[in-house]
Amino acid sequence: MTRLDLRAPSVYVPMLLLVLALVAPVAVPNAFFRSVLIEAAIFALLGVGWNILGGYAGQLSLGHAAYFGMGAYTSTLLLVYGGVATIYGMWVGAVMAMLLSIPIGLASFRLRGPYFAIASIATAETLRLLALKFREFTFGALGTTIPLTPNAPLNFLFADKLGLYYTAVTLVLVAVAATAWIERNKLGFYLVAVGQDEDAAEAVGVRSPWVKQQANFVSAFVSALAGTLYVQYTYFIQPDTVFGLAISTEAVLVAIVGGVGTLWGPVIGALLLQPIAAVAQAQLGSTYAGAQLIVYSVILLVVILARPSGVVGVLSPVYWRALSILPGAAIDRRRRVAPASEVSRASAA
Amino acid sequence: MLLEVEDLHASYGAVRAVQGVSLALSPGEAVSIVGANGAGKSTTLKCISGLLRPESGRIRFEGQELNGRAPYRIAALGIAHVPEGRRVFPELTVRENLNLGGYLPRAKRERPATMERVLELFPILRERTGQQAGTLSGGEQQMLAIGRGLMLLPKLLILDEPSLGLAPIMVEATYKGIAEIHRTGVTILLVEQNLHLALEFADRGYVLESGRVVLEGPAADLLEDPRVKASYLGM
Repeated sequence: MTRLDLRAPSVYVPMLLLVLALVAPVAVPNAFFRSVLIEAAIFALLGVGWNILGGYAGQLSLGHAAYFGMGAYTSTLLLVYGGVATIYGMWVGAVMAMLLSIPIGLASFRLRGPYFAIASIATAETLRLLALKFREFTFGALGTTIPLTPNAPLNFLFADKLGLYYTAVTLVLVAVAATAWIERNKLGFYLVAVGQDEDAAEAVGVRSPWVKQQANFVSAFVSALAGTLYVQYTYFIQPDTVFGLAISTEAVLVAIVGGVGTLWGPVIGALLLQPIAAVAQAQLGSTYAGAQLIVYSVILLVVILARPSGVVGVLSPVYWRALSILPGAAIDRRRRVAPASEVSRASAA
Repeated sequence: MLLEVEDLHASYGAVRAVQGVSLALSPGEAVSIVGANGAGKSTTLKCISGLLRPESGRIRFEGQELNGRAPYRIAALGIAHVPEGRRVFPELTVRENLNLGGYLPRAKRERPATMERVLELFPILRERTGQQAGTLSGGEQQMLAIGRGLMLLPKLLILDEPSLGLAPIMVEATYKGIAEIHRTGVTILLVEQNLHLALEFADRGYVLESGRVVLEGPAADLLEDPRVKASYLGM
């Protein structure tokens, strides 16, 4: 790791972007804008979680609501029954999701391709039905609200939701950093190898079921955190919202639109999709019920047809091009920070 | 014997691909399996490296039973399988592809040295180390796939159709590399449809037909044997 030189665009541009992300909700004190930002951050987190298993390891999971809901229910029930603060319950939920990922992995990782995707839907649906069934414990279909206490930071309940936003942004950054670490290490190469050609990977000694399970652990952990944040954002939990297929789909979509198997893809996907979804819902949802879904689907189709590699595939070269013409670019050139392989990987993906 | 296969049976669903194949390799040998399309050559290899679970029969490597072991365990014993159609990881760079082969405990410590050896063996890869494997030509990908197998420091290198779909000049370069590998003491089990190529390279050969061994012997004898060509043409 070279020392950070603030004059280099590769250093100050990301920093400016971060500052922008932190200042945006303060600079624009608009409730709608803020809620869109929070949703984007929460689904970015879910997408980053999904991306580790679904992107890097190439296991197209359509059941990440299982982990999302597990996190959401664990922290909520701990809070409702035991008065355990969400800031602790959140980690319990994440660990519970990791435990849950073991039977899910054992049952579904022997399946490949579409069969794995179908099995993964079944796991989330099973949990949804269980949550509906054991209503004495889970409050069933009626769901439950989060006990509202004005400004309880330990429960992520803040007077103006800004705190929740910063919590979510912090977790996204940590999750992206964890992904970056995995990407650069043996596990990351193993994941990509298994995702691209499982047989060939096994032939060179990759223990693919275990490699996939390691990805599953991390993926479940991160996705569960998003689930907890989501409930603390909506103040309400019921099986259909947290275990539903819509959540699983959202996880996949932000990653696919942003760029599957890329570091920032899910974050960019969420930043793009959540505003579109929110605006479409607000503008069209009340007059033509369901119209927002049509708009949403059309955008998805366009992205998938025009840019299968996701928006990152378009943005990444632009980003590095911009860095190369900003003041101080000479420092970057000397240090050769532009990862040629990353640029070509993003555009070739 | 380094590798012994006895009465191997394997099938894909209802299709019986291998019906009683037996073969044996001594350390340091180069052995070819030849035969027409669908004779069961690749299936036999997949059973040895664990990618396919045989129905019955025994496979032993250095006296250890391999049947039913996971592929990564078999690789850890020192068997590297270079599958048909090259199968490099297209989005990883050449260097990353090679490194992937060298993470097993048996090869890890030697990884930089082995990488250097591979790059010496196939100099064209040296110019491409930072390039995505998917952008290489077919011949370069084949060399990379072989190099990736070598990174395991295998005792037995299994090659499935290394000449398939390559330009003649690339076939020559690839086989030169394989011969070099063989000279360093690695035992080679080779499957080829290209009869002459396979038998000119190998010490001994097996001829497969409809999942059975119909002929075996020194490669030079098989090359002269009219029955080999007959079996090849399905006569």
